[in-house]
Amino acid sequence: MNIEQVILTGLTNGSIYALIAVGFVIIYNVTGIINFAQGEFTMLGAMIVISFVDFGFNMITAAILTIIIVMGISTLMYGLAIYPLKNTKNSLTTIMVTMGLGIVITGISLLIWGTEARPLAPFTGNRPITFLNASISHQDLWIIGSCAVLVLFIYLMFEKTYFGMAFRACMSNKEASRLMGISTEVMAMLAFALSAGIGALAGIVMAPVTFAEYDMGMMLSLKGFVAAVLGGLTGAPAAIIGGFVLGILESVGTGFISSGYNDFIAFAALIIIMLIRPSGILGHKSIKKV
Amino acid sequence: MLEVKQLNVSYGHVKAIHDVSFHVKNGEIFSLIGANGAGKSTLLLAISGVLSPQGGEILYNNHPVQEKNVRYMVNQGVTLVPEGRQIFYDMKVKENLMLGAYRHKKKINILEELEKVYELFPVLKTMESRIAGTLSGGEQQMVAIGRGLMSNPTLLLLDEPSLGLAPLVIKEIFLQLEKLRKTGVTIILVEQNAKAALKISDRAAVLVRGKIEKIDLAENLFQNQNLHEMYVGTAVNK
Ligand SMILES: Nc1ncnc2c1ncn2[C@@H]1O[C@H](COP(=O)(O)OP(=O)(O)O)[C@@H](O)[C@H]1O
Ligand SMILES: [Mg+2]
Repeated sequence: MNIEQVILTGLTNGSIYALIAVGFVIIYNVTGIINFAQGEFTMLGAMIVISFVDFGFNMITAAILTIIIVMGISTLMYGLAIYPLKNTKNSLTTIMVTMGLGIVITGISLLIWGTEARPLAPFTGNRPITFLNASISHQDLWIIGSCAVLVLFIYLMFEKTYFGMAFRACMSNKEASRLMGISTEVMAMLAFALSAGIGALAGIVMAPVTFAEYDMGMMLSLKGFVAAVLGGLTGAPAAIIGGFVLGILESVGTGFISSGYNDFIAFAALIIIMLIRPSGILGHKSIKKV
Repeated sequence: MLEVKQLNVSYGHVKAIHDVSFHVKNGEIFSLIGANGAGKSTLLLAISGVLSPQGGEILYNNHPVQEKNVRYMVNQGVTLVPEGRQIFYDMKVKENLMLGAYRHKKKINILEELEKVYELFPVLKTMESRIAGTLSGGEQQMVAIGRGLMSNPTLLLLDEPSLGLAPLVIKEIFLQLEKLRKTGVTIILVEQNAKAALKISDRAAVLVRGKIEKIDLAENLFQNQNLHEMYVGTAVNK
């Protein structure tokens, strides 16, 4: 395997991890909750879009409906299980609840879709494109492209709109946001909806390359979590970088050592980063809160 | 404009405010002075709608508001500039200020309000693109006050704006508060720094362990030789 190929594979997987990690940090920064059901949004995105396509919907309609449905599920999840915990100080409780929600979603998915892995045809052509010394499939380009478009969308929304500014304010200082009259509960609900939409998009674009299975969410949650922690859990840009770092680490590991080390690498990276740089690879932008 | 009647506020079993009554007139600067732990912040949090009192009444323009939340109070023109500033440290100065207008963004012209704040604190205009957390303490306090003013409030609640600032900076900020009052904003000023607060106030109340010890014209309190013992002496042995 050559270095160009390793990097391209890393970018493709990294895009998926980046999308899941962005979902993590958006929820974490607005609510303080580590949402271990994050990967389930991606699983649901993949499963639901395949069902729509099987029903005969075209890809675009299927994708839009899927994103809306997953955002709805997430909003419901927030209202029924997360909002009632708003006065809970114990973060272990909320982590247990999100893990429990993940298990519930997995269980329901098993009932609906069964255990078999479901395929989806690539969005466009089958023939790989050769690029430098590497080859890349159309679907990989779709994955990298969606990640790029989403990053741009998030950037514009957060940085260029008043609403995005209020959203960042909640991520920055919840108490002060309340004093401004910002409803932090509404923002938290929107954070869940937005993260779910991003997660579902990741599932939709990755479905043609991985096969979708009802139980793929947990591992995706963990990978996304590792990527988010690599980035330091501070914000969307850091999470995206964390996602790419993890993707490239994995592809270097599988390309040069063995493909059996894929998951091992992610967790080894997590442990090492926790030991030597708990604030993430980007370090802490330590702005003193006087 | 504001009348507080027999107010009681507790944190669980800890009673922080006991039967406190006072009123604030339109356009005045009213100071609440008292030692650390006297209940000053608690009183402001209750008025601003952050805490709901266990008993008593708060009348704002003759309407009872003790059950209302922060959003309602901000809509009505009551804004709290909290203790310790609580600005958005990792956001730009301009963004901090603009967020102060959140509840009023449809009714007011944000850029006009921004200009008014810059007129009061010209230094902020030169720093509008800086990250707020990198400013000095005094500048951060100006951001906090400026952010409070962005909603064009009629009643501004200031919790220890002088905390941790150099005397010269305090003087500058208090000078701007006097200017602000001339524009018609009513101010409740909480301070441990009694002398500085009384100098710019019309009237003041001394709070001791959750109760009002004395209410008088600021100049009378200023001349009171026992003022310091009055509130420090009783608070030390709590
Ligand atoms: N969040 C809280 N929980 C419990 N007790 C509190 C809390 N905040 C303040 N208190 C108590 O209430 C009393 C008044 O506090 P505070 O209003 O902060 O006083 P001040 O602003 O005058 O220093 C103090 O005895 C303080 O210990
Ligand atoms: Mg206080």
